[in-house]
Amino acid sequence: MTKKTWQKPTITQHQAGITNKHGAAAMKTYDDKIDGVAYKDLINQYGSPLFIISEKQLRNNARNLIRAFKSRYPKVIHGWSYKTNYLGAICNVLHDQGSWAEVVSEFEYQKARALGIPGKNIIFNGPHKERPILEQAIEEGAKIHVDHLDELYLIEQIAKEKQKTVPITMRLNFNTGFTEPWSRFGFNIESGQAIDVAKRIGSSEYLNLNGLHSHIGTFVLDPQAYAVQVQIMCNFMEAVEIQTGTSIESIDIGGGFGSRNSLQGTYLPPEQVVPTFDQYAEVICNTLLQATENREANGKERPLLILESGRSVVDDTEVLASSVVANKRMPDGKKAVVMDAGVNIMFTSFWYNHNVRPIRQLSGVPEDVVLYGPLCMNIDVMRHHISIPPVNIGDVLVFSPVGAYNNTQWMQFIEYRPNVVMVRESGEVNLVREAEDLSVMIAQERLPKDLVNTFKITTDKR
Amino acid sequence: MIVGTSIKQHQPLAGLFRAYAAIMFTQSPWIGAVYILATFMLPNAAVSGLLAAVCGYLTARLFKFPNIASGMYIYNSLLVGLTLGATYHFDPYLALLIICGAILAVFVTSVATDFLWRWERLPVLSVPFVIVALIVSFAASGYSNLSHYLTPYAPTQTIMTPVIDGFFTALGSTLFIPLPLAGIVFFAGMLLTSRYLALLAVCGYIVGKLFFTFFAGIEYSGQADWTGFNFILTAVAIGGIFTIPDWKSFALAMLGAALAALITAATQNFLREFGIPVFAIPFLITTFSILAGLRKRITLSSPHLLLENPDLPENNYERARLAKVRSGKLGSVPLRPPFFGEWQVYQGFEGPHTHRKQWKYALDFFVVDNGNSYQGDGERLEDYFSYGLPVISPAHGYVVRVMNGLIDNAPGEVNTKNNWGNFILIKLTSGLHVLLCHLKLNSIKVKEGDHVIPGDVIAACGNSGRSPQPHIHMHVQTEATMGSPTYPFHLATLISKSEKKQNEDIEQAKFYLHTIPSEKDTVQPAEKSLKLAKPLHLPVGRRLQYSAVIDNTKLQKIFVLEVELTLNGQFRIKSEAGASCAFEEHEGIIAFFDRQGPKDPLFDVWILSVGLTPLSDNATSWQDSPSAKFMPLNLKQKILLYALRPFGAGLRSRYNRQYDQIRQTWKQTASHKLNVLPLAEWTLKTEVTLCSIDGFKHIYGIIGTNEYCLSLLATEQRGDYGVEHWTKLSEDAET
Repeated sequence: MTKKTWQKPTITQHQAGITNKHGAAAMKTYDDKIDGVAYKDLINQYGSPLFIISEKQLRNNARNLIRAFKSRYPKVIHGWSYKTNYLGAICNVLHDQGSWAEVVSEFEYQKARALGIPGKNIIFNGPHKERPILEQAIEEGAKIHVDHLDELYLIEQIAKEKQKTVPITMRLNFNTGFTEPWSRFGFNIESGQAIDVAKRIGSSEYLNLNGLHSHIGTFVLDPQAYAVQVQIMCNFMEAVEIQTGTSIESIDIGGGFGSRNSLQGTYLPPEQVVPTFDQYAEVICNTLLQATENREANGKERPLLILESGRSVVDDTEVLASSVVANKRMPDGKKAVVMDAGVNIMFTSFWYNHNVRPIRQLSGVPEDVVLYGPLCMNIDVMRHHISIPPVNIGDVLVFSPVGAYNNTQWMQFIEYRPNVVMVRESGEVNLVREAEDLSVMIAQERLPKDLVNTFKITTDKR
Repeated sequence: MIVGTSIKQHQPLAGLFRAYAAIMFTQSPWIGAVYILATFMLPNAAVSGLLAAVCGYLTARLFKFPNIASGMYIYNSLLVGLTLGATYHFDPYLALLIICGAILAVFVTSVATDFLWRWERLPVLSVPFVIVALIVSFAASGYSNLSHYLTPYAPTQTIMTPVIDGFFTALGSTLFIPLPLAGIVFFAGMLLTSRYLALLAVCGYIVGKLFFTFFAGIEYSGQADWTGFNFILTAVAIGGIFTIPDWKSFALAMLGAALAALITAATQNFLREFGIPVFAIPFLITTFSILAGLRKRITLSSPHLLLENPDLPENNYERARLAKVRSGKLGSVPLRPPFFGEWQVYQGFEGPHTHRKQWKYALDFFVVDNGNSYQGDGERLEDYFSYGLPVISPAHGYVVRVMNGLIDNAPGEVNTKNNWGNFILIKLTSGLHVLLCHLKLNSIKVKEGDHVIPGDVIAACGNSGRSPQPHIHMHVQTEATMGSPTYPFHLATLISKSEKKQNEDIEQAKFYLHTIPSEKDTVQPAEKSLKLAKPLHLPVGRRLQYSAVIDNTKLQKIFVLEVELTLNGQFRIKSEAGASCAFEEHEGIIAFFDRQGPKDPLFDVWILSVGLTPLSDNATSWQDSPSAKFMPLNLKQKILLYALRPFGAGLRSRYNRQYDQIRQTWKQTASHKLNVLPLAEWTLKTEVTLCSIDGFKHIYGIIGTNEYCLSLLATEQRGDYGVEHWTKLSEDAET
């Protein structure tokens, strides 16, 4: 038996505060390892702050998602939403699991191609696709999702020049009654715009409408929202097929599944409010199976179901280990801790209350603390309130989950972006993105000749 | 079918000739024409027969009976005419009687065909003839204006030995020409049509005659000469036409011949009182008893009945051989996996737990991830991956029993009072039943009497009955009673992966046309990929235009294929030279079979390269066995092959398919080997490039020393009234 750590006796004033059923939860737990690798060793080798990805968790998530849907519907494809996290290592683990690439820009398209994804396995979304990249996507047989009419005309023009029939998917928007409609993307069903566009495509010699796509929102916590979405899309599919004679081969329901993260302002913990993949799949597949029940009897195939889940697949596969830089006491008496990582690299702290865990057993009385980042700005807050015992300078706190959007939306603002490592299933640790340094920062800069060394060291002649 | 064009254009004649041929189970009008000539060895009977046949034809035509050209309404009239002509002198009185009999036979045929088909799916054979012949014979026995004509029953001259003469006489008697010479002509026709039928005829006669003589004694054995056709026809029908040839069906044919001899004796003794011959009564009684009797069995074991689509034995054998390669053993029921996605076999055939003794043919499935069948702590049913997943129908059939009200056991608990738990019992067309059980409480979406097809969601996976954790149990059983013995089955069109063993590389998931997975194998239904399925779809009226190059010569020629739909709903692809091949697109596979018509190596290369094409992306290698007829052999080789494999042999075809990312095409290569002797092996190689835009784009093949190369120029669609013809140039042709 190990000896308990001695704790200095303290006397604290009793505070009523706001009552809650959890009480003043003291931080009793800590994690010193991730997939069997000690945080301490990782920080020693790769420095602080440090992003750490768990390959095991990533593969688990991908398998779970596919299993949940494929065991309920015959044809399912997962398109990995690049924007959520397009680190090559993450993309390629998911591609190895069978996921296609879902990209929204020229850069993402090129990145997917560079990672070895054939055009036919790329889903090309987004409202901004310039002619050169569209030409490439058409040439390579990518699944192009059309966002607006001008894009449609451009694709038609290219197709005409190439004397080709280009299969396209229409992005739709409509009101499910569950989420705020994302009406800025795609064509609206309720106003009749969508069916008009479908007819326009139907009448084109060079275009073939063979897919429907919509995305109803983000962090959708009620699976029933998807039931409504799928039903509306299937109704639209029937209508389009009857009115234009085309046959729809795929239905893309976008993403939006919640991850195990606490949205700010959510009362219950994520384990209780965020549905599992199985719960989403049950509702989505049941609706889809029912809505497509008679297709085979009518000589048509059931459409392929495409999922573009990003956040729910990657969020809990990555953590951010950050070290304490300083302890402070604010004028209002509240305690503050300054960390070496802030909103510059953990952008999602704007809307999540991340889990924060120390890597050693902390002792002492927990106190409400605000965690600040290293930026010289007021908004740089990692957690507004967290109850933790006193920490020392150099102590490491691990923020989780941080897999979604941080490695793509992080800012290069006054600091270098740190190393990203992946703990492999084998236990090996690989550096998957090296920390930036000055040369990286100025690599793209072009300094006009006359602006080199403009600062003259002058001697004060006065 | 050897149908001459000149005869085809004269349908009445073809129908008439076919009527003669049909009596010997031949369809060729040419052979029928020769048979007519043979009947003129006894002109009295020949004229009577011809008159009857013509009357039958005119009647069928006057009243617009369907399919007149097939000869079906005529041959019974013809037999009535022949039998009267064999008994009475042809004169105006007899002519009138023949006309009456022939007309009656047409109507009786129409009724009897329908009745027998509905009753037991039985062929009409010569039932109308027997009915009408009995009627006219009884009537004629009282007509004093008819004069008897003595058929020279006893052979006038001995051609060979009495025994051989006896056989040919018996064969001649089929058309009431009991002369050895007529028999020889008929036998020649039979040999030309099917050697196996000829063999059955000879063996059937020998067995029947031995049996007949064994009881009757040598002095009466001559009687068997003009009734012996009953033995022959019975053996031919049972062993050749209505079952797939194998040892059992041959033995049954011989048994039939023996029984026919017994029934012949009985019928003869009975009808002698009335002075009437036995006609084909023994043949009909024996054949119908055996065929209808076999139909009552609920099994897929040999002999395999072919009442729905009888054909010549060589064709029957070839079809069965191909079916075996493509959809699994004939004695086993092919089923689709009853779920979506990837599942693991929890317990296989003859499993250690419950799949034992008469319940050994059963499969249990559950979902496993990383070795676990649940997530969380596994204490709640909801923790189990399989729980609540959709269960889909594995076959076409009718739901005959359903149990829906049992609660799902807590994990680890079993309900031994209701072993099967909630279940669905589906009756297949073969009469066998498929059972799916341990289903979730109140999850069953079908009711008794519903028709289900593969892919229908019918229930959800549960944990009711004797089930310690959620899983699907599937088996086939003969009876509708629960707990009755199980029957062999296998799974069709799936992707399966064996358990990874230690010291072994990861086993790749493989595509199977049919397989029986073992415990711990993973199984996933092979879904067809639209990218492949759509361009490879061949609707009626589709024309594929290729430019063909033979042997790398500069000589290019245009090669055109066109899709036709036959009257009975069979899709066939046909070359301009007239070669054709049937195909079917079914359960995610395109399969070509039944190659007909003249020699056309380009066509053969095309057919072989795509012969069996799964439409699943996961299919990378598979096997097939097309007919050896595709192998170009010289006469000596053909004789060798025929001597060793009289029924015809199959090629051993191995297919491989790979996707080319740059060109966005699939390359499907195949080697086709014919291996009849260790020393005699011939190989063909084919290659096809499949493209998601142009379909069957490039075909390349080596046959012997010749190289054949086809490149798609254009895809066309034949127009229809009000629908314009269209042509789409292939991508290459455009550039």
